Amino acid sequence: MSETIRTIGDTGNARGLLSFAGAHLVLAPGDLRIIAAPGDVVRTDPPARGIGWIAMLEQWRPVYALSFDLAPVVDEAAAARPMCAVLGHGSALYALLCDDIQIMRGAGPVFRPLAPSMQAPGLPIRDLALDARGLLCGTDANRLGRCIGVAIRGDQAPARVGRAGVEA
Amino acid sequence: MSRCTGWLLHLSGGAAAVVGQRELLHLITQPQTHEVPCAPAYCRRVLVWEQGVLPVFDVGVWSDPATAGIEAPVIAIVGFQADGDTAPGFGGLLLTTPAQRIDVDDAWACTLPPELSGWRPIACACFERDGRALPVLDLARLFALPNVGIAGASPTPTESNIPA
Repeated sequence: MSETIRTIGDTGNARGLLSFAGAHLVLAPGDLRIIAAPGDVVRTDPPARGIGWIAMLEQWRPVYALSFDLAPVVDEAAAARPMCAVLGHGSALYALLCDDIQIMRGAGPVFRPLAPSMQAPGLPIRDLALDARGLLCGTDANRLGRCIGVAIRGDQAPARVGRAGVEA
Repeated sequence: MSRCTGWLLHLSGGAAAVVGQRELLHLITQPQTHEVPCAPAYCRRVLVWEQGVLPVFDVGVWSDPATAGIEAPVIAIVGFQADGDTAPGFGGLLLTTPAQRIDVDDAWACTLPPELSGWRPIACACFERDGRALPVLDLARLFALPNVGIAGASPTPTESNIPA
């Protein structure tokens, strides 16, 4: 199994922009680790509310597809999204299927804090900006993982998925 | 007796409220708004105005979550200031029709009736006009309202669903 398609190296302060279900999420710098191909996702015994598993750093990481409201979905259209972003840090890595993934370099649009009336415990969105793509929602991998409400330590995949990075 | 002028706002679900004359800055018909993921139903959209991204509040939905949204809303851009030391804030209120300028007399002041007791967190006064109690919105408090949480989201990650 090929572990990665493309690493996000030499990105400096670049931020990953994940688009799916009409939402555009802009990650904190360094949170987008790898852009992988959906073909690398093993869909055997997926995690609860997840799509499957992807190998990274010799461990299996859970793969999810999210709705506009950032809830995990497992429908056919979401599972068929053409790109896969691996995000997070340390052992807390997970992946999201996306319609599009872009790298934002440079100053980019100005992000403004979310209004208090929109804030809530657990809300992963920190700030907002607007550009030609529409509304951009600033977030980070840890907040997003907590909002999804699922485990992001995917190092204990079912045995029949195989050993990460070894199984062909 | 003292009279002043305010704006009568027609809100979703048949609700109505008033803001001060100088608090209403702009009315926008056919507004272009943007939906924010996970935001509460009563403050689900934002509007770009004067280089700012303003929250758009549907007071009718806040008052009664069963209220249907407004199909062709008008947005009232409002400005407010919690006190003299804080920076002014701005936001949008969803209306069913353009705001109506009205005269208000101090003698019409009344207490919030029981059916509007839920409005206490966002009302700074109330008066009766044509037999109807009309809350006066405290905009600084309204736009500072904390949301109670996101339905379906877990505040902390769980590991119960990691396969053993």
